Amino acid sequence: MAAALQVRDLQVHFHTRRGVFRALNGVNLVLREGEVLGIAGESGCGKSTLGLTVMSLLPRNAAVPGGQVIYDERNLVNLQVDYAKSAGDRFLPKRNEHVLKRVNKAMASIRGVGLSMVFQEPMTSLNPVLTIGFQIAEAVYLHNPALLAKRRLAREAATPQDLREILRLLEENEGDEAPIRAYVAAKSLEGLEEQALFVWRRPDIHRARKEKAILTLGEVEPRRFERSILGVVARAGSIPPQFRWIPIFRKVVRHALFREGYRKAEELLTSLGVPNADRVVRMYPHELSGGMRQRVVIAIALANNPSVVIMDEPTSAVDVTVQAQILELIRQIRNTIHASFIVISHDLSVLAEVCDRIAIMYAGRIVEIAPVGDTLTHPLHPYTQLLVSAIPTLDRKEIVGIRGEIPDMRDPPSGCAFHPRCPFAFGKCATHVPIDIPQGKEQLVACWLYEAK
Amino acid sequence: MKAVEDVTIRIEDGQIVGLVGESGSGKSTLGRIMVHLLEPTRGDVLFDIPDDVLGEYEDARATGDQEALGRIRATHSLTYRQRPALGWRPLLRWALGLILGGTLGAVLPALAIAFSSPPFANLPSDFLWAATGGVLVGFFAIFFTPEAPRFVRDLVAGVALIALNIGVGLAVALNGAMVSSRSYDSFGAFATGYQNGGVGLVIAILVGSAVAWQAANTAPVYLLRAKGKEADVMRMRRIRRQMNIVLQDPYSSLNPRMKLVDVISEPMLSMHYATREEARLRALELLQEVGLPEVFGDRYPHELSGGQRQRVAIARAISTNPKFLVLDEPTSALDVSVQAQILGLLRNLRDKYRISMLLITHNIAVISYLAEKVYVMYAGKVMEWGDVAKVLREPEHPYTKALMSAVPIAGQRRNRILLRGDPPNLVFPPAGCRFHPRCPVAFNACGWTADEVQEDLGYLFAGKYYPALGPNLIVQAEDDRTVSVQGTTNIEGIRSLVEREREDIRSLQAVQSVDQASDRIVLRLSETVEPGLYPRPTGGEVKCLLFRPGAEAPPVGAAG
Amino acid sequence: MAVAFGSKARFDDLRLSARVFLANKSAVAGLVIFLGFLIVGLLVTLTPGLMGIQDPGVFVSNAFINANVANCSGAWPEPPSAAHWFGTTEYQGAGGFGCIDLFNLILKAIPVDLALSFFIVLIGAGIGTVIGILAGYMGRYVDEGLMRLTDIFFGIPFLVLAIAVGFVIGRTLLNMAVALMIVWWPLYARYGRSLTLSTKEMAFVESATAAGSGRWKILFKHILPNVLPPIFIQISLDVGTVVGIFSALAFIGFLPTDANLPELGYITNQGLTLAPLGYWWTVVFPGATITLFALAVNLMGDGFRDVIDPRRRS
Repeated sequence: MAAALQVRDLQVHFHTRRGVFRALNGVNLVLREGEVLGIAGESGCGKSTLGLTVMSLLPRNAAVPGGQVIYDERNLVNLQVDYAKSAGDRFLPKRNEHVLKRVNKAMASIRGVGLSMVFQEPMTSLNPVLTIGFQIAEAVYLHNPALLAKRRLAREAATPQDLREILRLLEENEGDEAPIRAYVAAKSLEGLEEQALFVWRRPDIHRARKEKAILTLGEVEPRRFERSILGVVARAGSIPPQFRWIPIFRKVVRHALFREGYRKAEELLTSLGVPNADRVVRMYPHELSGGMRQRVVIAIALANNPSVVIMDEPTSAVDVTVQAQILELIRQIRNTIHASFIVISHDLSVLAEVCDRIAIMYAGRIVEIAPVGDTLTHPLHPYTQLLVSAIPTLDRKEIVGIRGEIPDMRDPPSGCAFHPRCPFAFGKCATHVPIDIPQGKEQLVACWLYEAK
Repeated sequence: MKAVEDVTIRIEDGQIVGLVGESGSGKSTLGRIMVHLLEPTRGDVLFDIPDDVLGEYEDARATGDQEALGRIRATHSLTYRQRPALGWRPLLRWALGLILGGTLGAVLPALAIAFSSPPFANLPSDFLWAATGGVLVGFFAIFFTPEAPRFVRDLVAGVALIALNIGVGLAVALNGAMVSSRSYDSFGAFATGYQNGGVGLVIAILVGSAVAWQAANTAPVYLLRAKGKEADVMRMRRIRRQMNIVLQDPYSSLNPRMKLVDVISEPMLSMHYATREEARLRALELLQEVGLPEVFGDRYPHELSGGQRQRVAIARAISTNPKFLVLDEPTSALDVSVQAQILGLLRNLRDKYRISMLLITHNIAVISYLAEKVYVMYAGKVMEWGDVAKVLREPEHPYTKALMSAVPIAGQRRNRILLRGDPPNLVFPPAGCRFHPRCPVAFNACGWTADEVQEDLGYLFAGKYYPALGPNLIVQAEDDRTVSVQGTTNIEGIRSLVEREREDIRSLQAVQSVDQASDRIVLRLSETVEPGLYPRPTGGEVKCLLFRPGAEAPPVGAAG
Repeated sequence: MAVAFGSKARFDDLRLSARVFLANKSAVAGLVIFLGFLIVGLLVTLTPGLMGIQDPGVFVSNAFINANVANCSGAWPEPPSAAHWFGTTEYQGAGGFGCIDLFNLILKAIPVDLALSFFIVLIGAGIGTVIGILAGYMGRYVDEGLMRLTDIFFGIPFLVLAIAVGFVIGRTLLNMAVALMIVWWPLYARYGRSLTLSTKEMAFVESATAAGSGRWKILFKHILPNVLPPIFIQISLDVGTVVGIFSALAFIGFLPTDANLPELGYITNQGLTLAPLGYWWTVVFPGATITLFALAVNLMGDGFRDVIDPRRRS
């Protein structure tokens, strides 16, 4: 099976005044295409850091002394690794900033397009002074303005016959995408297919309404000046420099593209289950409830059809009943969108709901990774076992904590980082870092207890 | 906005009671009311009350026996105040009386003299004289005759005041007259002065006296109030020692500039439970009690992890040996393994010291682990309560059922009851049962308004029923219980729509009749019933009309 | 027994704070310069003779005037040289009396300016902070009333006020200080109030209330220790700013020409008419001293802010 994302032996160190925190100490991970991978762990284990490293969103005092993050056959962290290796002990955040500048340039075409991230707090990750529609539209505008231009142009160019033909194809093929795409390509009406398909797939309106909506897609106010400018954008694939610098062009382009962007935002929100999306796109974040905001943030992440979506604690900031809605939503998304997901959470039970595999992290390493059912019913690593038994369940079973504290990552324990707290630790655990030992077909444990004799 | 409404909670000695709800349920507000961090607008919090006294209290409430109520509340209620509840009006009266009486008592005589002789009266000192005199006389009268009936006190005060004012007036007159006549023949001058300004003077004296006397009368009440306040403070101190609260965020609940030993000692010192030395020693003991080494005493909060800080917060909370502890989301900010330790600690403390606890949380699993009784809150009201085992295993209220089905259980794919929408805005709470807009089994009496029905109908007309009924429909809420539909005469269509959709769209359950009026179709809604607390089959109570005794069981939906 | 362990923790914290501060090179430079000024000021005040100053406290002493009437009356300023490091300047108040060594003069002015700025800032901050904390803590009517009062004072432009004060009660150094104090305290009232408001909401204040602490106890034990440190930082920053402001006032002529005061702005003012004629040092050197001092204090304050603000610490 192909891998959407690969992490090899990743190390991340944070250089602070209080010392060097070894946040990640050799993380190995493979995200398979189409799967939902959960990363579980407690505070300080490095799970958020892992997500940020993949997106190259680390602060300037973070050094990446080794490892690879392979996406689309490219190593995303090679610049940072090079600098960290050459600087060695004399790592300087200031110098790192220059490296990061280059990294950001390289990542600009990946972030939001191929890799996207949903952050923990929807209230703070949304700009409170911009409308929802703007923030979603912006995501598309920045990366794929040509799409917006094409959508609009396609609507204008589509004749009533075209629309009727599309409707017929949809009805005949039960909403199958391929014939529509073929037709649209043949008639140079790219951009129309996603709008038609969206209308077709809406669950909240009746068939007759859908038909009417599709047939009226072509009703656009003709604006010749806009049309010609958008034509240039569509052909060029991005906004050409003269449109960015000359004020009048810039205004027209932005205005037209954002208007189209608002329509796309409505489509995205409706597909995520937000009612009255046409009203919601004009609202501000503070007017929405927690669950809605979470959906908006997810919409922004999905706007450009990324292939990998990283969700950092998507349900931590919401109530239980809303959490249930979000989990249901994630389950629904993964069935309809071709993307791979990484879900980071400290709550194992949440991960159990939506993930195919779960990786448990402790002290900057992955200690166990297994299919979700196995992780919870037959945890192998002592840490996982203790973690599972610490979760209070409804049947009042005794819960046990784990003695000791999470280690100070400036000076992690030698060998297996968990050995001071592990009830089964023995000689080798203190001196040798455990390797990933396969167990069964799909499981990997990093624990000497499972070393084959 | 009522954060909490009509809530009655009962906690036994040594019992852990769980309070579960989502944001906006009012649980945090309730917790704070119970430790007197917030004042309830109405109602009572009774503390350390034996069962028989509680029975007396309930009887007294039922019969309206104010005397008994006052007696019981004086000993057990957190909201009781000994000092009379005086508002700003008496204070205002007092101040005005002081000013007016003093002014009138001094100024008017002086003015009267002035019009008959050159104004030599020293106004400010006159005013002060009269005002002080009036108040002093009043106090004097009240304090030395506290037991006398009111009219005697008034009489004494009045006479004294009049005498005072006459004296002042006389002095003024004398002064003025003497100077004006440049004679030191006092009696003659007096006579002249009084002759000239006599009538005005008398009137002024009388009026001034009356006002000042009235003011002086109310003044002593404030002194009593001060005495009452002292008693209140002592009483609250005694009560406060018995209760405390542990808050949610371990990162801001400890003063970053205080050493831990001081943090823990603080309640003991504030409530005068121990001397400085004793408190310090006990603080170190408590550190060990909650599982931290004694050396932590001289550390600062920022050197500790979240779980350790929460232990310190618990140590602080039990420092005065309280009988009752409120814990507001004590483990929500902590990791699972740390949470397990804290929960174990709480259990041990309860077993060892028999502390009653109110555990407020949104995490039902935690409640099931620690608590014996549970109250489920939604939008400020209690929806269900009972024994933990019974309520969690057999939830009766639809909200509790949804809550239970939303709890992720590791290892199980749940069949969820998904609630639509969000918790309500408490400024405009839903009518009737507060949960009805989201309830999957709501029926006609649950509190549907015409606005809600109108919105749902509008959605249906624009969606599913668009081809059947056409595009020209206008739905309007005529008043609270009537909805009208214009633009079609297909009354049968509407009737069958309502029939077909009432399972899914619960608001349609409220439609009682569909009739044709002159130019529109009118849908009338049934009456709303406010749900009360009805007994649950397995003990406890539930606030849901489905359990109203004697009511016929309405058609219940599949999601039961 | 526990005490011994505890001090170590506090000491570590101080070491960390020192490290944070020292890492900021410009802050260290600022601190060094500021200390330099302080030391100079102290020495000039306590042992003027050692610094070569015969007449501290005045621009030029009568003794000097009398002794040098012949050569210095009407003499033009001399450029910097070995004898006079900063050159010489004139005292306009005695009709162009020259030969006054500028370096000496500046040395004399340093303690005056230092003292004045401390005086202004400490009193202004004192008043303002008390008002602000009271307003924030008491809330409601007290808050409204005090804040409206503060708003009134905020609206006063300091230049206009200074001129008004000068007109009404006279143009002296003390009056200038008073005018500035009036202008300065509203800033601290607002700052103190906002700090108090945010500290009031913290969970540990709620815990203290639940623990039975009275209002005043909470104010002194919980609110103040958390509110005052940022205020002190602000004071340290303002000391530098205020010097610039009152020097500017003196420079534009708040102090009368014959005030005979060693004050940097005043010195600059004395050279004002001379500079366009080519005698640049009479204005440049005192002006540069003001700038240097303000800059140093600002950098130093930045360093302190790094130490206090937990986010900037790492």
